[in-house]
Amino acid sequence: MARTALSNMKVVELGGFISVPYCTKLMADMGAEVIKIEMPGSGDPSRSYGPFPGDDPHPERSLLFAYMNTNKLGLTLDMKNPLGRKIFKELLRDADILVEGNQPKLMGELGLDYESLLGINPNLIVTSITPFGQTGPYRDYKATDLISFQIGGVAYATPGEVEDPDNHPPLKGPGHQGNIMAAITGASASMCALMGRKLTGRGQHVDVSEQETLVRAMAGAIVSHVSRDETPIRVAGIGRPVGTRKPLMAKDGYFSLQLIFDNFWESFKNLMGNPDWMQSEIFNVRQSRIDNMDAVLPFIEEWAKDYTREELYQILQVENHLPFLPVNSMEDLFTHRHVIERGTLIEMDNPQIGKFQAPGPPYDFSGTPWRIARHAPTLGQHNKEIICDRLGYSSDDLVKMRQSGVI
Amino acid sequence: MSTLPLEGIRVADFTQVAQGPYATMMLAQMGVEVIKVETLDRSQGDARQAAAFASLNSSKKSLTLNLKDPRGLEVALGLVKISDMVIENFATGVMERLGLGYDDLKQVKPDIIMLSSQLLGRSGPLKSAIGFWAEVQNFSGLSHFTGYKDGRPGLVGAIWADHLAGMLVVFAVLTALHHRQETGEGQYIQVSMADNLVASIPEMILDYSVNKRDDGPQENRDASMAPHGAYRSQGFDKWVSIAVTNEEEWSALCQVTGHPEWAKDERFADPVSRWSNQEDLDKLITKWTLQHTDYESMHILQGVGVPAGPTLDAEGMFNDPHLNDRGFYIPLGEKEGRPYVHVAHPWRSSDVPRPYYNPVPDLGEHNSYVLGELLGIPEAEIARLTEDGVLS
Repeated sequence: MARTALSNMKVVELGGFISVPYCTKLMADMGAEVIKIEMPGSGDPSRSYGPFPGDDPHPERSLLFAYMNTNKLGLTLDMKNPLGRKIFKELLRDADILVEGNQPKLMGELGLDYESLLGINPNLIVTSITPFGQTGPYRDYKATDLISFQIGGVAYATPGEVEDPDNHPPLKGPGHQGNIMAAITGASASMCALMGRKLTGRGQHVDVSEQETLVRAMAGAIVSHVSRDETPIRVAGIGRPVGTRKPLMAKDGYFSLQLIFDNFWESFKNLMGNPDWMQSEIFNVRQSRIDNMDAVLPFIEEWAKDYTREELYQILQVENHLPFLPVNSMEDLFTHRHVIERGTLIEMDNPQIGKFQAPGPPYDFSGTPWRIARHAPTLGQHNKEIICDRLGYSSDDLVKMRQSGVI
Repeated sequence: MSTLPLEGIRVADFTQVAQGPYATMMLAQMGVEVIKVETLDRSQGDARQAAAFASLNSSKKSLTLNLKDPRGLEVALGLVKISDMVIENFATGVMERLGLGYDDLKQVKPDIIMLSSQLLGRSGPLKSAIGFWAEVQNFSGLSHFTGYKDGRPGLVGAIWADHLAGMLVVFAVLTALHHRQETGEGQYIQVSMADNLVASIPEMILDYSVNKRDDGPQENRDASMAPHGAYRSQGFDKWVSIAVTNEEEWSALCQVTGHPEWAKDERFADPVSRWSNQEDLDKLITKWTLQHTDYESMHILQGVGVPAGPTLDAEGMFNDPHLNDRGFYIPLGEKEGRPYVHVAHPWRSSDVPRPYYNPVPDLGEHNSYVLGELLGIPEAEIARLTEDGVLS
């Protein structure tokens, strides 16, 4: 078996939709042991979310669950039951990190707030990933990815300027972008806390507010508002634009081309044969060109309409070193030569589901490879291994736990 | 005095634009000594670019170096020798051409951790393609699902690809650092921004893989929840978003908005009917939301446990009571006679009362610190290097 970077790290996962499971997936795929705790019966919400092969829903055939939970061990525990919480606390005794996504109020009610957990294991790092964080007036407010994306400010800049704001609301990102950002932030924060523990010998409580992980990405707009009175506005034509990078239409689909830097603009001007419209002062000063990009785009589109995106790639990117790429649909992506040759998508063969393609590693580590060593667990797959073999309960106890719904 | 978690770690930072600088700023704020090797002219752009630059490069040290000069390269390799990690995001091949590829760095520092992050990765036919966040969002499928049903594809804002990859870079280098502390081994990490974005839309990838489904722009819809959208509120371009995730929340919404009849309407009686009739439902909800401000609607709905929240623009984010209660904006004095705030670190820790927040360094501000104090180059030699343009 290949050596992994996080092979000596023990993680327990509790609650949260995508933000918590993806955080621990990042760790598990690099070798950490992750024990995933699921509610007996229903299990992780993604088990019922899908997609499912053939649109035939089954808790063991959710592709999203199968993807999000690779390399993890599965344990069912009813946290509302005192014995469930006792087992949970026993697990935390020799864990390095707990990653959880419950409402702060609920963790308090269950007696699982950070102060209580500190009593069990003072070295424990608790990473809480919640919509609004552990403090402040909205701490117990609920959010889905939609709400986070909107109150986190990124939606305001998505998908760009609109002419008719009443009929074109600010948009969330595709899938669960807010959850994913919170997840990656939680993983970075947890590793940072682990480094800190090596210096201080203490565990700590890491507080990740999904709203803040998104607002942080909008820092440029906030600084512009505060320091320069230039507040980006998404309604076209009434102020500083929120974005100037609209996809354009070619012969066979959409693409984009950036002409923000002066050297790109000059190359493109030469390629176009220096037409009159490109001589205007408005377009030849960088900031002014950015602010007036809407006036440039129709000219580019008019020129590009006779070329396919593959032809444009040759002309613009290969021959003129201009930042051009196509807008890919799923079919485009799955069949793109670059995606195929790199192995961006990997084939997984899950015993409950069969073969399917899934996103592969986002990075390549030369010494400690990303790898899939085990499939996502079935509901409660490792109950016996964890409760009996590790924590020392008898198989009699296990049966009683099952009968009383604790597991 | 408290210890920052990454104190004692040094990064030689060869990054530019947004993704790499965001990652190294995260590290700097947690205690890493980040030495930003500046090879690009910051002045390409006006004060607005300067503000954007500051929001991604605070808390670092600045070293200007002409890497094409052999003596500049020598200084760079000297810096690598006393660093724990090297992070770069030039186009594929640039570091190698400069004599700063992983093999070169390993020669001077065998346990170095090097991370390269490129748009489309370092292998495959398009490995040398250049582009920015918009291009890679387009390439990886995000833009195809962003936008309105009747329009062209759109872009997730916030320089999204850069921020998402930047945060991944932080996780990756700390993972490698942990491994090095346990084993003494460094390694080379290659990040692909495109692959990271593909991994951020698993629902679409998986659905296409097994069901060949590709529905294009999602707008604010969810695959199963309804109501689920942004609704107009009182005021110009004000919105409140609402997402009902279960029957309890649906019934609470009907009660608190004063419309118990919605719950009995057969078009909305169960989740499947609600989803099929969500356009009708959206019209009814809009009648209610238009009577309230965005924040009023949020508080009314959250008060009964229904997920809801306003759309915040830059001003809205800056004034949001919750963010301010949590101290999310750090005043860092003035810049050119205007107040300057720094947006706080995106995570808190009970053991880190305050991350390291320091204003953006001036260009080359730390040249003599790095060359003199860290590398022990005599003052006369530093003067000569400066005169010969090696430090510019």
